[in-house]
This record gives sequence, C-alpha cells and structure tokens, in this order.
Amino acid sequence: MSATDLLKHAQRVVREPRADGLSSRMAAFLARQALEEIIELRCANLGAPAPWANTRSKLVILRSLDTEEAADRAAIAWNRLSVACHVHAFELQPSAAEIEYLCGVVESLLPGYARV
Amino acid sequence: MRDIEDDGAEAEQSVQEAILELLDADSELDDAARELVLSALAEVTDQDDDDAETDWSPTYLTNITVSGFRGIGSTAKLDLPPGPGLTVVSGRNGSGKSSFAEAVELALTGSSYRWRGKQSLWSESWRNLHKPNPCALRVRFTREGGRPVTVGVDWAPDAELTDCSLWNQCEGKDRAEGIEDLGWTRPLERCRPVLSYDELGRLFDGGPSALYDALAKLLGLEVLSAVEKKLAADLKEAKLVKDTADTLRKEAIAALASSDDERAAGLVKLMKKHVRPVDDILAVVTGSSQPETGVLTALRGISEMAVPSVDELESCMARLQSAWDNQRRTELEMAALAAERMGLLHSALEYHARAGDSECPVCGEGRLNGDWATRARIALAEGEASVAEYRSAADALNSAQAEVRALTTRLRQVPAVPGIEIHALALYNPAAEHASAIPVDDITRLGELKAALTDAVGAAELLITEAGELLATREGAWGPLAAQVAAWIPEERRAQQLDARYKAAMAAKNWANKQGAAFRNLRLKPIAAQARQIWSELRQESNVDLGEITLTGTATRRKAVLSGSVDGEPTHALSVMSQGEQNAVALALFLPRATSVRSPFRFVVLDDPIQAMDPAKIDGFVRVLTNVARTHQIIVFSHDDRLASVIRDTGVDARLVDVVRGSGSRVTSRLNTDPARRLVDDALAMVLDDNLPDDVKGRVAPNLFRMALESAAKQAHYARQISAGRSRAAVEAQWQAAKKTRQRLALAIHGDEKADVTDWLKARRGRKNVLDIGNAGAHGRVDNLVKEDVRDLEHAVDDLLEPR
Repeated sequence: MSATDLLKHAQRVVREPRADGLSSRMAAFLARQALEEIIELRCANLGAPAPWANTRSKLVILRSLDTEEAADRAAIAWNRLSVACHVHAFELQPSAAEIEYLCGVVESLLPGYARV
Repeated sequence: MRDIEDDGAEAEQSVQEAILELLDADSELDDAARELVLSALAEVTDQDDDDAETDWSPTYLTNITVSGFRGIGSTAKLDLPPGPGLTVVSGRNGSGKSSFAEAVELALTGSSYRWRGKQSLWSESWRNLHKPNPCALRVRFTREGGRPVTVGVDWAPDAELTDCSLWNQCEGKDRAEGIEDLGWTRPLERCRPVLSYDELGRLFDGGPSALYDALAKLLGLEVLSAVEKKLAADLKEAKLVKDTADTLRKEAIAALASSDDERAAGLVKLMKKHVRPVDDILAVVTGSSQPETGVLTALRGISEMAVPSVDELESCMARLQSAWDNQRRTELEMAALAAERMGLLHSALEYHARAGDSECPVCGEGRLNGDWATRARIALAEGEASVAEYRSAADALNSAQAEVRALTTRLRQVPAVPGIEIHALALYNPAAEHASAIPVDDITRLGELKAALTDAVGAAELLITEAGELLATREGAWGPLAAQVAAWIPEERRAQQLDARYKAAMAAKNWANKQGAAFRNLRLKPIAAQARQIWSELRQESNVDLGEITLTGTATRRKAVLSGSVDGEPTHALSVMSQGEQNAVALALFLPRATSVRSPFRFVVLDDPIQAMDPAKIDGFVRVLTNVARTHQIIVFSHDDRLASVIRDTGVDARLVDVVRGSGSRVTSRLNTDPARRLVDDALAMVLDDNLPDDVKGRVAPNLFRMALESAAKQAHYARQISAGRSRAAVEAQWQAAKKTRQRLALAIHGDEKADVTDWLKARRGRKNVLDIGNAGAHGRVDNLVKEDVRDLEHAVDDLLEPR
C-alpha cells in the first residue's frame, strides 16, 4: 500500500469513531506507517536510500540533507505517533483531534505536496 | 508567525506627538477645551520624565546563584548563555528550579507573585530548611554597551523575608543600595520579564478592569492616562464649585419655598432660571429694588401713615374754637351795625353828591353839607376798618375749619390687608368715618367733632403700632432667608465665572476619553494581533477562536474585552475557555508584553507555563518560544519532560538544563543537551546503525558535522560577545558575515573571523579531522565514517562550548 493510501485510511479511521475508542490509536498506527514510507521516499529522493536502516538514522539523514522544516516535521510527527502507538503508564490515549493534526503533518511531507 | 519586532527599530510616535496631532485634526473641539488639553499635556510631560531615567540597554541574564533560599541549600548556580535563545530548565517538583525563577523575580521586584496574598504561608518556609544560612541571591546580567551588573539580595541570620538588603554592583564599581539606579523601574512595572504559572492562572481572576490595567500598562500610555487624570481633576475642581453653588441654591430654594413671605416666590422663580440673574436676585435680597406689593406694601403704608398727633389735634381744635369765638364777637359787637350805618352814609353821600347841600332827607333837621361829607368820609373809613377786622375773623374761622377738615381727611379709610388680620382696623375705620362725617362749620357739634377726632387719632395710633409690629415680624422671618440667599450669591458668581471653564473642562475630558479609547485600541492592535497569532499556534485542538481584544470604558467602568467565537459562534472568549486555554491566552498576552520593544529586558523567565497544557499545545508553545527566542533569551522552567522531549525530537535551537536536588537540598544544574550536542547524538546514532549503507553515512556526515560545529561556534560566539556588552544586532551581523565554517570557528575562538585557527585545530588531536569532514560536503562524501570521528566531533563541540 502506498503512503498516500495508508494516510487516507488513517484519516478515515480517525473520523469514524469506534465504540471501543480504539480508532485514534489505529489511525496513529496507520499514519506512522505512512510516515515511515514517506521518510524512506525522501531519503531515496535525496540520493541516500537506506531501506534497512532504522528510522532514527533516516531522520538523521533528513536532518542532514533535507530542509530544516521537513526534518523537524518528520521528527516531531514520528515521535508523537510512536508515543500514540503504545500504551504508556501516565499518558492518556491521544485524542482524535491530535491524530488528525499529526495526519496533516504527515500529509505535508508527501513528496510534491504543496501547502495551500 | 510574524517576527517579534526587532530591537525597537520601529520608532513609535510619542504619545505627546500623537495627542498634538489629534488636537490639530479635530476642528470641533473649542479653543478653551483645546487649551486645557494642551496645558494638561504640558504639565504631565513635565512630570513624566521617567522614560529619561530608563536605561534602555538590552539586558540578558548570565547566571543565577542561590544560597539557603527555598528549595536550595548550599549555593547552587544556574548558568545561562547571555543572548537570544531558548533554555529549558527541567526538574521534578521540588527540585529547586522554581527557586531560581523566584530569585530573579525577587531580585527585580522585591516580591514574588506566588507569595502575594499568601504572606503567612511563605513567611515561614522561605528559608531552606536544611541550610538556612547564608541566605543570599545573586543574579547577574549583561548589558549591551556596558559592564555586566550583579543584583544581590542578602538576609542576615534570623531576618524576616521582607527584611533583606538589596543591592547592585556594576563590574569594576562599588556596590550601590537598591536597584533604582539601574533605570529599570518603569520597564519592570510595564513589561515584567518573569511570569509564573500562578500569575498566568490569575491574570483573568482580577476581572475585566484588572486585565484592562495589565494591558494598558503594557501600552506605555502613562502620559495619556495622566492627561486624562489631570483633565478629570480639572473638571472635578470646576464641578466642585458648581456643585457647592448648586447645593446652596437648592437649600435656599427649599427654605424660601417654606416661607410665606411674598418675596419668596419671585426669588425662587429667579433662582430657578437656567442662567441665574444674580444682580436681580441681589437687589431683591438687599431690598434695593423693592418690587414688593400687597401685604408688605400695605403694612408698610399703614405703619408709615401720617396721622395727626393728639397735640396737633388739640391745638387745631383750640384754634377753631377761638376763631369761632372771635368771629362771633366782632359780628355781634359792632360789625353788623357799622355795616348798616356805612351803607346809609354811602347812600347819603351819593345823594349829597347829586343833590348838593340840602336838608337831611332822613331826619329833616340837619344839613348835608361839606363838613358833614368830610365827617361822613372819616366815619366811613373807620367803619371799613371794622369790616376788615370782621372779615379777617371770618377768614381765620375759615382757615381753622379748613385745617380741621384737612386733619380729618388725613384720617382716611384704610383698606383691609388680604390674608392678614389687623385688629385695630375695626376700631380705626369706623372712628375715622365717624369723625369725617361731622361738619366742621357746625359750631354746635364742635365738641362732638373733637371727641370723634380724638377717638380716630387714638385708633390710628393703635393701628400704626399693630401694622408696625406685623411688618417687623415679617422682616424678622425674612432676614435669615435673605442672608441665606446672600451667602449663595458669591458662590454662584464664582460658579458662573467658572462656567466657561467647566464647560471647557467637560469638553476636554470627553475628548480625551474618546480619543484615548481609540488611541489605546490602536496601540493595542499590534499586540492583540500578536496575541491572536500566538493563540492560533497554541490553540491546536481548542475550538475557541480569539477575536478582537479591546479596551473600553473609563475610570471604574474600564474593562478589557476579549471577543471570540466557538465554532464560528461569537461569544466572550474567556467564559468558554478551560483553565488550560485561559493560561494559553494569558501567555499569548504576556509574551508580547514581556518582549515589547519598550523594554530593556531581552530575557523572559517562564515558570512552569505548561502545567495545564495538553501535548498538542506544547508543540505550538515550542514554536512560539523558538520564534521569540530569535531575538530574546527565553528561560522556561518546567517540571516535566514534555517540553524537553519536543525539543529533543526536533532541531529546535534550544538548550536543555536539568536541575537535580540531592539530599540536604544540594541542588545541581547540569546542561543536558543543546543543539550542537544533539547533532553529535544524531551522528552517533547514525554511525552505529549497521543497516545504514556506508555511502549514505558518508553523504550525511559532512552536513551533520558542519551543523554541529557551527552550532557550537555560534553559541560560543554569542555568549562571548554579548557578555562583553556588544549588541545583539552587531553580534548577529558578524555571524552572518562569516560564511565559512573556519571563519565561524575563528569568531568563536578569537572573536574575529579573519583570525587564524590553525593553532586551535592543532591543539587537540581530531579537531582538524572534524573540520575536514564538515568541509567535505562541498567535495562530495566521506569514506569510512567511524565512531572515532563522532568522538572527535563531541570533543570539539565540548571544547567550543566550555573552553578550558
């Protein structure tokens, strides 16, 4: 599934709340997968493909070779989504609004995405 | 987000100039009012030279040292890089981080917001429990274009919280008491650079008027407020005179209304006129105009009635009596006979004249001749004298009668006075009528006439006395009333003289209030826009949209109105916000205030601002802070890791400092990370990732190394230059001018981009290697990047940041 499709699924899930309240966590999971695809894509576009490297390294690649804004956005969205994908002792489940916001951040990182 | 204005370069029109301009533009304001505004402005401007005392040199914090105060026992020092940038000081609750924030607040303002209203609670626990002595605070500042200055607060053992000695010391000079001579009084009041969570929470608690004051203060429109105050005072003064006159007038009118004096009504009418004719009123009061009619006139007429006295009456009557007697006597005694004889003689003489000497035709015995005629003429002349005597007696009688008649007419009838009962009138009028009904030429009724006249005169005297008494009573009641009105008159005159001034003062005050409101909101606009901008970054999930922020009303009705909308529905913003949202709005309002171009403080200390914020807001908050941190030194104390983690995740240019409190209140601060070290960490993570192809590592490394070196060099350069008192703008320009990494290193090490750094590069193994890797970006890639290269980078960064 392409990054765009994954993201669309994530956005759909977060807008259709489930009775068990798991929708935002599921959406976070989908969005993080989309983001990881996008990061990989950006690395390749920068001439530094690293399909097997961990995401931390890939974020370093973006930090070094991509724009500062893209590197920041990718890092913050990935860290946030990663937190949202796990159950933490003292952290509340992410709210739907926050995941929607992060989906927006991920979307803005799609290659060729023009911010309106 | 819009950049926070830079260095106050934008020259704001002064309030004086703005007021003058508005005055010029306003053609409706009359000259007197215009004059008042101008004089108020002149007076206020004379007093208000506080700005002249203000030292505007941009000031940054260098370090905070605390001993034996609150959570800190042994001396603990928090170093801060002077210059723009974001520093986040994290520590658990009770780690002592807030003690640093409070130290700054206490040193600058002599009190702490957290303590306000809780004196008793804090007065017992402000000293450190483990190590209460020595108890001292030191806050060190750098000032552009000047020597660094230290502000200290010391407490003697057992001294109370408020019983401290505050001093400042400029490097190379003696200590000076207090901090007044630093020229910060006005900016501290206007743009306090320290804000705690408590204050954020309470900014809205004071209600709309307190918020108005907080915002108005920040606008720096003290001159305008002072002018408004002065004009209000002018108006009050003029109004006081007017009110005093009015009160006196009302009291006098009330007193007059309860009086039955006939002058009262007319006076009340005059006094109720819109423009009081003071001169007319005065004439009535002093009696000089006497417009009186009716009762008073009647009484006065009676009391001043010219009635013959008893003596006059007696002598008059006596004269009449004697005239009567005299006339009667002459009449009786001779005159009648003599007249008859004289008539006869006249006839005889006429006869003799015609008939000549002849026998007497009456007796026939005598002769009517010349001798006889001579004798007869003499006798006739004598007879005429007698007649004259008689006539004079008759005249005397006539005149005596006329006199009595005149006397009688003087006892004319007196009409009754409406509304007043005069007892003597019932006696007098019939008596007078009776007296005047008796003819004076009737000798037989002379005695009766005399008795009647005597009665009438007696009654008249009674009447006059009674009328006089009545009049006196009236006047007695009138006196105090007249005095009351008279007392009002000078006040009224003053009020009338001041009336023009009062009107002008009113016009001036209204003008100032109207223009002031517009002017304030005009000045507030950019700040409100900034606040809205900050709010839009902070709000994230909030459905509350912040609209216009306006200041309305004056004096006790002043208030700040924050309009807003919830999902597009307009509403008052504050009422629909949660506590966390309110804090965010308070922060949005506070940041423009603290970073105002009208403040010398280029640092902002925020104590735990994110307590009530959710994660999404923290993102926005970090964006806001990094934006402000481009021009200001931002120090945020935070009790949890959320803020720090956002910073760690991103490339945000921020330093993280951990505060740890050990046993016995031993507090240590430790630089956790800064941008350069984060890049070192990134490089290390990358080099350790075996799954990352080497050629990719080689491509990524040069940029990463260069960024790390330059980041460290930049921090070192800024800290070094700003500590030396150079301006931020100059430091920034220097940095921008140095394009190459080597030049930037030269700036950091020697303060001169052209200086040679070869020695520095050679001084420690690995430094040259690091620079080479950084520079390789231009040439392509680095082959075989290894862990040791990252170690070299780490050492170079450490050496730059903390030169040995």
